[in-house]
Amino acid sequence: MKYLKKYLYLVLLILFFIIFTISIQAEEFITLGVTSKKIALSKLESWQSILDEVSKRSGIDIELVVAKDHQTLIDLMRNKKIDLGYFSPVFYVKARNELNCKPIVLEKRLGSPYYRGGFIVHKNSKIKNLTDLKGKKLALTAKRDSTSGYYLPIAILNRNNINYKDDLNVVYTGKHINVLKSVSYGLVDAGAIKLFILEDELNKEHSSQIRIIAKSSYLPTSSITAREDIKKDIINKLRKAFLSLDTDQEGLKAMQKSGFDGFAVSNDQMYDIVREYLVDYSK
Amino acid sequence: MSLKKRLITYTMLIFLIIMILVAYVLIVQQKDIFQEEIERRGVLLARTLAEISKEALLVHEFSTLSKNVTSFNSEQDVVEAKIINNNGRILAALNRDLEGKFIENSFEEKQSYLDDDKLITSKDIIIDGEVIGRTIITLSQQTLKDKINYSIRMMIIILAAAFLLLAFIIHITADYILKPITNLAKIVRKIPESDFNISKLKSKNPPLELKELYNSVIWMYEEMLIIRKSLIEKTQLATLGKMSAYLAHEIRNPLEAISGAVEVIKLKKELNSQNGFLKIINEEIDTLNNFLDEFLNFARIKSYKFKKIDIINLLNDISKLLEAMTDNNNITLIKEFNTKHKYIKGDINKMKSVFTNIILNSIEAIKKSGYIKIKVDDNENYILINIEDNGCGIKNEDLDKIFNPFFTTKKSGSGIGLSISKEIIEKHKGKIEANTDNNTVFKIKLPIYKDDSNNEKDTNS
Repeated sequence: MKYLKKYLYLVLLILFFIIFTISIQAEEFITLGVTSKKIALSKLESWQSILDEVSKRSGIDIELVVAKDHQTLIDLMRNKKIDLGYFSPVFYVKARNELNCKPIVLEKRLGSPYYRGGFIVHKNSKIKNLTDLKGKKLALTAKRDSTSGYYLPIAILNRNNINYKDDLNVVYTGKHINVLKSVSYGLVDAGAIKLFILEDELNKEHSSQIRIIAKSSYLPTSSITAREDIKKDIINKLRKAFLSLDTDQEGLKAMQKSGFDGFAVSNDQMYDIVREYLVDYSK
Repeated sequence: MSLKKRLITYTMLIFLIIMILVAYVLIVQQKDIFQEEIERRGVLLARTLAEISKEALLVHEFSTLSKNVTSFNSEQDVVEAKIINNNGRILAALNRDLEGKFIENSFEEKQSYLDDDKLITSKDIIIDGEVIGRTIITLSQQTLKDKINYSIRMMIIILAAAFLLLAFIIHITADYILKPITNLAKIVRKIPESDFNISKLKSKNPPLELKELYNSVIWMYEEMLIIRKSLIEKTQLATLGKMSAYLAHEIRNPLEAISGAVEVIKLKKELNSQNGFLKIINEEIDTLNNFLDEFLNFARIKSYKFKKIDIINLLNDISKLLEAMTDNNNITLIKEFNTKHKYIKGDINKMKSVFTNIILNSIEAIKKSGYIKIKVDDNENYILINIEDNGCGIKNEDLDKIFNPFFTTKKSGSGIGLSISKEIIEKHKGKIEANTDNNTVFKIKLPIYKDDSNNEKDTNS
C-alpha cells in the first residue's frame, strides 16, 4: 500500500510535468524591452544569453525588444507592445505610476541589488564639497534618461541649494564611463556617476585619478518589471528562473557578458528612496 | 659573329633597354598613383573621423569616440586611428592601451611619413571655428608595397615572356630576312667552280636593298671573265713576244751565216754540179726567214706610226696587189664600197697587213674558184668593213678561238696571223669579229677620223 502511494505520486508528478510542459508550449512568447541609445550588438548579446537561459529554465520563450530610451519603453508597455520592461530606478517609479506594472526581479552588481551614485572630481581638484561646485563645469550622462547620471545628482544638488541650470555648466556625455573619463582627463571639474563603475578593473586607470566628494543613499538597481496584466504564474516562473541564475555555472556563464552577478526579488517598497529623490529633483 | 646572331643580339638589347625603361616609367607612375590614392584616403578617413566625432568630443562622449575609432578598424591599411584633444591626450585609439595617455609628438594638420611605410594624416576637429581636438589616422603602406611588388613581378614575367617570344620570332624570321644574303654568299662561293652559271644569280629576285649588290656581283663576275680572257691573251702574246726575240736571235743569226756561206759557195762556183742543192738550201732559208718575219712583225707590234689613212684607197691598193693571186685561183674579188673616201687614223703598214692577212686566209679557204666580197659601209662614227668568202668556213666551236695566238686549223699555219690582226685593230680602237653562217664573214669596225682637212695630202697614194 505504501509503495502504491509512492508510485501514484510519481505518476502524478510525471503527468503534472507533461501537462505543464504542453500548456507552456501552447503559450505564445513574451517580450522584454530594454533600452539602448544606439543599437549595440554587445548589449543585445549580453541580454540574449540571459534570456535564453531564463527561457530554458522557465519554459517561457522571451523575445528581446530594444527601445531607444526609457520613455519609449514606457510607451511600448502602455501599448502592450512589450510584456516586460527593464527599467532603471527612476523610470521604474514613473512606469509604476503610469502603468501600475509589477516588479519581478532586480539585477545584482558586485553582489548587491543596491548601488550608490556620487559626485567625483579629479584627485588634484580643489573642490572639497558640493557647494564648491558652483560655477563649475559638471559632467552628467544623458538628459532625462539616467537615474544616477541625471535625476539623482540634480536631486542631491537641489538638496544643497544648487540649481544645476543656473549655478553650473553642465555637459551631457551619454555614459557614466564618459563622465569618469572627463573628470579623469581634467576636461570637466566634476561629474556624477553610479559609483560601482569605479570598481571595474577596466576603469582602474581612471578611478585612480578621481576623488569622491559626495555619495547618494543606496538605491535599488534596475528592475525587470511585468505589465500589469501579465499572469501571476508567469511572473512567478520567470522570477524563479531569474533567481536561479546565480546558483549554477550555466547561469553565471549566461550573465558573464552583462556584468550582472545575479538577480534578487524586487518589490515596489524598495523604490521609495527613489521616490524621495524624485521629490527633491522636482523642487 | 654571324649576321643572325648580331640581329638577335642587337634587337634584343634594344628591346630590353626600351622595355626596362617603359617598365620603370610605368612602375614609378603606378607608385605615384597609389601614393596619391593612399594620401587621399588618409585625408578622407581623418576628415570622416573628425566629422563623426565632433559632437561626441564636445560633450565628452568617449564611448562614442571609441566606437567611432573602432569602426575604422575594418578599414583597409588602417593601423592606428586616434582622437586627441587640444592637450594632446589620446581620448580614443584603436589600441585601447593608449587611451588616456598623451601623444609623444604633436602632429601638425598635415600628412607625414613614418618609418618609410606609415602615412600619418591628421585633421583638426573644429566646431564653430574653434579647434577642439584632432584625429590622427595612420595608414600602412604595406598594401601599396605589395601592389608595387606585384606589378614588378608581373612586369618581369611579361618582360621575360616577351623577350623569349621575340627571340624566338627573330630566330625564325632571321632566316627568312637573311635568305637573299645567304643565297648570294652560297652562289658567290661557287664562282671558282668550273660548272658555275651566272644565270642562277640573275634568276633570283632580290629585295630592293640588295639589288645593287646582286647587280654588282653579276657585273663583277662578267668583268672578271673579260679580264681573265684578256689576261690569258696577254700572257700568250707576251710569251710569243719573248719567243720571237729568242727565235730572232737564235735562228736568224745562224741562218744569216748559212745564207752567207751559200753565196760564197755560189761565187766560187766550185760546185756547179751541185747548184740544184744550193737552190733548195736558199729556198728553205727564205721559208725560215719568212716565218721569222711573221714573228718579228709581232715583236715589233708595239711601235705604231699613226697617220691619216684613206681606207678606200688602202683597200683598192691591196686588191690590186692580190689581183694576180686571185686570178690564178679563179677567185672573183667583188668590191662593194658604199661610201666615198673615209679616213681613219692608223699605221698604214699594220692596217695593210691586217687586210692582206684576212684576204689571204680567204684565198686559202676557197682553194679553187669562188668569190671574196669586200664591203665597206659607214655610219656616223665608224667605218664597217666586211670581208666575206664562200670558202670552207670555220666551225662554230672554233669561232671563239680563232683570235687566240697559236690557234690554227691549217697544217702549215703559225696561228698568229689573226691574233696579231686583232691586236692591231684593237690598237686602232676598233673591233674585229668573225661570223659564219654559210659564208665566213670578218667584220671590222674602225672609228672614223674626224679631221675635216680634206686638203691634206693623202699619205697612202
